[in-house]
Amino acid sequence: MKTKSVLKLFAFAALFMFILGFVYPTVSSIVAEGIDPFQANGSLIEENGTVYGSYLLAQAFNESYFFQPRPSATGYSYSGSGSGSYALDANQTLNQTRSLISRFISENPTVNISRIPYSMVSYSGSGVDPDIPLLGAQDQIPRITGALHFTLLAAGKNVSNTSLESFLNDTVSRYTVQNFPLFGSYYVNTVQLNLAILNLLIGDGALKGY
Amino acid sequence: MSYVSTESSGGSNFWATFFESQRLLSGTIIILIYILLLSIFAYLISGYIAKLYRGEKTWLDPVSGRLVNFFINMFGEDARKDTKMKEYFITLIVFNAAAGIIAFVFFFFQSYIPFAGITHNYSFSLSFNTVTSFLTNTDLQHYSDPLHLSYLSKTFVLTGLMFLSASTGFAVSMAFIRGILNENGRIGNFYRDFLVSVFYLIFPLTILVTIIFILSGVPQDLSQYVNVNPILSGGIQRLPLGPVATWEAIKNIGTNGGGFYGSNAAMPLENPNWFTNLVEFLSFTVIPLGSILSLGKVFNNRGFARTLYVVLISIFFFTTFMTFFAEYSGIPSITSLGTIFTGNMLGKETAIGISQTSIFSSGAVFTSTGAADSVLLAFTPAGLLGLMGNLILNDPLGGVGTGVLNIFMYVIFAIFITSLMVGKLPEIMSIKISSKEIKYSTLSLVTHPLLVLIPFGITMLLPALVIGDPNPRPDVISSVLYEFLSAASNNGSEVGGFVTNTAFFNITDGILMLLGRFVLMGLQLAIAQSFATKSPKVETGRTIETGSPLFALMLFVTIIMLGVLSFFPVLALGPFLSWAKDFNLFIGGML
Repeated sequence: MKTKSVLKLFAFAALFMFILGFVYPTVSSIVAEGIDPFQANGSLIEENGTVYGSYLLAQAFNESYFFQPRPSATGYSYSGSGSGSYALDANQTLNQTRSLISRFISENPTVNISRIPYSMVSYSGSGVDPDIPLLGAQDQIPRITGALHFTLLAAGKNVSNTSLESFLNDTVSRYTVQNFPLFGSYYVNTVQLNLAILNLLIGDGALKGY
Repeated sequence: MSYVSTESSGGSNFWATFFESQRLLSGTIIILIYILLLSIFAYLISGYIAKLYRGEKTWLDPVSGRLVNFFINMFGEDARKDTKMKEYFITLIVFNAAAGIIAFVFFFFQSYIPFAGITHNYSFSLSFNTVTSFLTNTDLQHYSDPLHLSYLSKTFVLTGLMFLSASTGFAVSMAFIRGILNENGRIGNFYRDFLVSVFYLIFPLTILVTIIFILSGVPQDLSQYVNVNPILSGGIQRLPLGPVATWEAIKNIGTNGGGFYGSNAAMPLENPNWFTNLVEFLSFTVIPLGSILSLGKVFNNRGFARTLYVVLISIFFFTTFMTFFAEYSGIPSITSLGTIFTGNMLGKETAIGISQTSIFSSGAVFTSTGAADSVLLAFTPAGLLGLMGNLILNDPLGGVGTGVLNIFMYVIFAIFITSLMVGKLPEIMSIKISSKEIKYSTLSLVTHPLLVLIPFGITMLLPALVIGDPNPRPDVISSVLYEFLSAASNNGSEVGGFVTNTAFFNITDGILMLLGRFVLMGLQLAIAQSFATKSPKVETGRTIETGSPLFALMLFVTIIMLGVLSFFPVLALGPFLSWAKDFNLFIGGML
């Protein structure tokens, strides 16, 4: 092959990497940000210019009045990945699952082991799965009711357990979706649930902001 | 099994509750819906692909035709002449080498490039591995943190290579089919085929899928990352962002499969819900299956396409349901803990679920995509075996374009064997198959086992090469076997468990990927060249009818036998052994 033809192929490769690889994504980004800036930027939760997370990503909700997402092997890191380096049949996985079960039960003492969905005690694939099965959310309602009651009491508001519980039940059923039309199983997004709780607390003056 | 009481399941009706309580049934239905939708869309696109293969007019001519002609004029005579196999193949190799060198330079020196905003450099072996892996349509990713890649590396280098490798694959399949159709000894021009693949097929579909992804919540912006203050807690986390939607689109349309984020399509930003999962599945299977179905129209032989469809879909059915049932049932040590177990959710996402994860993973190894919406390391042994079943057959449906080539190797081989058995003339599309084609097709069929088993044997003899795997021995064997299978078949999915970013695995995998792609392409183009000089004969009725159920059965048996015979011993040491251990299948305490 002649040198000229080789150089031509280099130019051909560089040109197409530039057009398809660089120009196309860049132009699409500019268009997408113009059309739907919220989704194009990653469905971020933004308040006065500060980003508090994304509706699509779980975080370590470190308060007992929050719905807990599925456990994460990466500590809810956005750039980490995976469910740990243990295979399903490794002894470590079995021990891990056992300790996650006892943690779930100690956090939610009203729950019996036969009511815990396995998803709630197994690491998610991404480490930031925001979604939990419907029953996983319902299991947490008694604990959250108590914690909310206590937090609101500390802020000088006495809200009855019954009304808190019905608020939580309503919130959960409002955000319940299926993971396939008709045939899928039901799940809820913990970020949406927790934002509803957060807004309740802020509205009642128990919290100042995010 | 039913864990949703009727009054609580979010305003549901009777049927939704019924399906919620029957997860096995509803999972099966979901998988069947996926396969049905795939067949419909592949059938719809097959007519269009047939037109591309035959060089006929299409409705995209006014736009795409002009673009193709513009670039052909730009590159002059080189892009116009009708070439033979040798020149075609050299052009292809030089073109890919050029892209690889450019990519390597940008990747290896990414911290020196002004405005890149990145200080992280990749080692030589990791750069080599990453560039070969994106160049060969494999997308095995030994790097994991997207924060270490500059915007330029993510777009110009990696997205660029994803487009190039997919279009190269389709171009080769165009040349191969032209070889069978032509009688003048020429198989076409690489520039032209590449441009047609880009502007008539890959790019339009990518744009369509990008739009769907953007509308369903996949991010697409120019930033490298955004700083996040998690709710009610101190500490700032960096959330990597950027052109995710375009990356996802070409990743799937081009059967590439490398994720923008480390956890690939398990990351909710890449794959937020069931709808995107379905779109991803369809977009990485539709071109490979569509091109197989198009062969019926290309050769005016509907029966042939039907045979291929039936054989391939039965393999797909078998492996998918094996994975699904295994993942649904889990392993005894976990299921006996007493929680509500509706499937092995370790390493899977709630919004996608067991059945959709199974069909997605199975589809990703059935084609050469290798995308994953879950962690394969956490699969049950039998579930992993279902995935490996596809990999040992060198991804039966193949990637964009390469699927057609791979299946032809099996077809030629099966026709030859069947003809020998019943004493007929070995012919394909009325062209006589001679010893040369048999030689090349056999070579290309044994290349895959050789590429996998030799490095696998070496690695097993030198256990020090596998660093940091805490898992039981059979699982380690499965992971290492999977690693090489995935590299040699240009798939790119990964089980992991051990440290893959070592010089040994980076370089070995890189070489395997290059050989697994370009040696096979060379052999396949050589077959095309030898067909291109032959003209079809008049049907005599003394040949094997490729549309007959008997031939379908023979093809199926040939494909399965070749794969199983080459790999059964190692499969017995890996997934079979883990499976037997997990289910306590040993009699008398053996092992």
